[in-house]
Amino acid sequence: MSPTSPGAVALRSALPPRAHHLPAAGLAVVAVGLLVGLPELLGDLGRLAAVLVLQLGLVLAWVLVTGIQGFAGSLTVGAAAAVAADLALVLPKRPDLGELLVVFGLGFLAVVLQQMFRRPRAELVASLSGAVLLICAVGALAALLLLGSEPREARWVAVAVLAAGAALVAGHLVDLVLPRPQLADGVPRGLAGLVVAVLAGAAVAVLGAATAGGPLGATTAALCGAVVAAVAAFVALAASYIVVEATALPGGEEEEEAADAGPEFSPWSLGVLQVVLPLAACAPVVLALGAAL
Amino acid sequence: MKALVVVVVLMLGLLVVADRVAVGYAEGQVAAQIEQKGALKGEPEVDITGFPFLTQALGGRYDDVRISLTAAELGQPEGTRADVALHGVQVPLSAVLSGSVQEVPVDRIDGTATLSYALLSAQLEGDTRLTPEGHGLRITRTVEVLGQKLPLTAAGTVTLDGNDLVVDVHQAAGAGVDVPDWLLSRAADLLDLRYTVPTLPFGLKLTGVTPADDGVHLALKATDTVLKAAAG
Repeated sequence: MSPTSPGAVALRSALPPRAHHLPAAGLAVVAVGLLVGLPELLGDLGRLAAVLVLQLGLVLAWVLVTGIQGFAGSLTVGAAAAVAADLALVLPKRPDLGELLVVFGLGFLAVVLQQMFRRPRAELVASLSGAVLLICAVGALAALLLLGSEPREARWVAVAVLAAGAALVAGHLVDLVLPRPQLADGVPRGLAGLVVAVLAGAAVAVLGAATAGGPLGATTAALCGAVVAAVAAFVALAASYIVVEATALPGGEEEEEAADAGPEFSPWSLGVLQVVLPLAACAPVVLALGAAL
Repeated sequence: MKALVVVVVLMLGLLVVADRVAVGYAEGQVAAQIEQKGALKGEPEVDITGFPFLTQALGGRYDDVRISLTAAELGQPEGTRADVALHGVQVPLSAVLSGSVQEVPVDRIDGTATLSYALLSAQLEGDTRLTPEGHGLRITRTVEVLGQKLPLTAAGTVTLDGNDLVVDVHQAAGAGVDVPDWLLSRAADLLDLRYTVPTLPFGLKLTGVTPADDGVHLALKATDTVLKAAAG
């Protein structure tokens, strides 16, 4: 399975597989711990704190890893979008996900202005795209704030976040050992890891639902867990592409030859992106499933 | 990165399409339910306003739902209609999907019911006929005075007294016949009308009345009410 077209030079990451997978797996545990633990300890404030920490972590990691031009401006706009998204869903008496459209609209405007006014304006389109994606991601993560006011919702969020976390950890660990059949040249992710990730998410959802109690049956829990895990696994795959692209060796240089150069980024900043981006994509799905259950 | 941007843009486009498809489907379902539960003769027009619809559905709360019922759907004389706006309609998505919606809390209902003159005339006694005139209406009716039946007509104003529509007339005259002034002064009071509007469902209250060309417009309002299917 090699999607690289003949003649195209496959990307080679300077990052060894261990550095690609292990920090991400470890950070997935930490992120899930924050999202499940803080609300248990501090209630709504804990949920807000956990989401905000992950959002700000994602903003920093994204701006560093994707190389968006206008570092300080992008950081400011990303952080402001994160705070605005959280406030839009926390402050109103009856919050609605639709409020995020205002945040996205103003955020887009801010990004365009920030990118247009910086000098020199190199890589304008790429930086604009990256910043817009960042705003979408931090806004999506805020969706978790809409769930949890009732015990039933809080239980579902915990189960779903555990399922997503299990999918991330299982996927990275399997791909560390057996990234086969490889999904793309140069990207250390395999189909086996993807399948195991989905199965792990479903299994953890069933266990979590049984432990937490409530009306969620085993079949429903397995299906919902699998859906959340699949979203997490696919977006984690996309995040791996981004990481490989960001750490690519110039001109197809062999890894051994470039060993001295080493990875340009800290594996931890890469790991934050690999963990928080999938969780952000899962958040609206968790909200939708929570509303439907 | 470029691929990711393309995927996100595509997904946003698909979400917008899905949103519009879902709102169309939901409007159809609500219209069918209203027709069935209200024993109407046709599906009313339902408009779930606000964008996006999907976020409202996920939140189980709809900002503004507008329902328009025509005379044909209500099975009433031509010109009768009802336009209702429901604000803050609470229907959890889980209840919709499981088909277990029994009652629907609503923050506020604003509406206008148009009672055609034909409908009002039919509801009033005798051969009473109402027609619009200026800012008021004209009433034409046969009354009996001193053993004599007199066709009279008069311009009047319509006001609201609790749940009653009250028509006060001035300057009565014979309708196609000459009636002596002394008889008119005795008969004019007989043209005054009082029509009790039937008790309205869902806590709706009458808040105003305005005569118009197509009928009498009644303003309706209810706050913090609950919509329930009629028993049986």
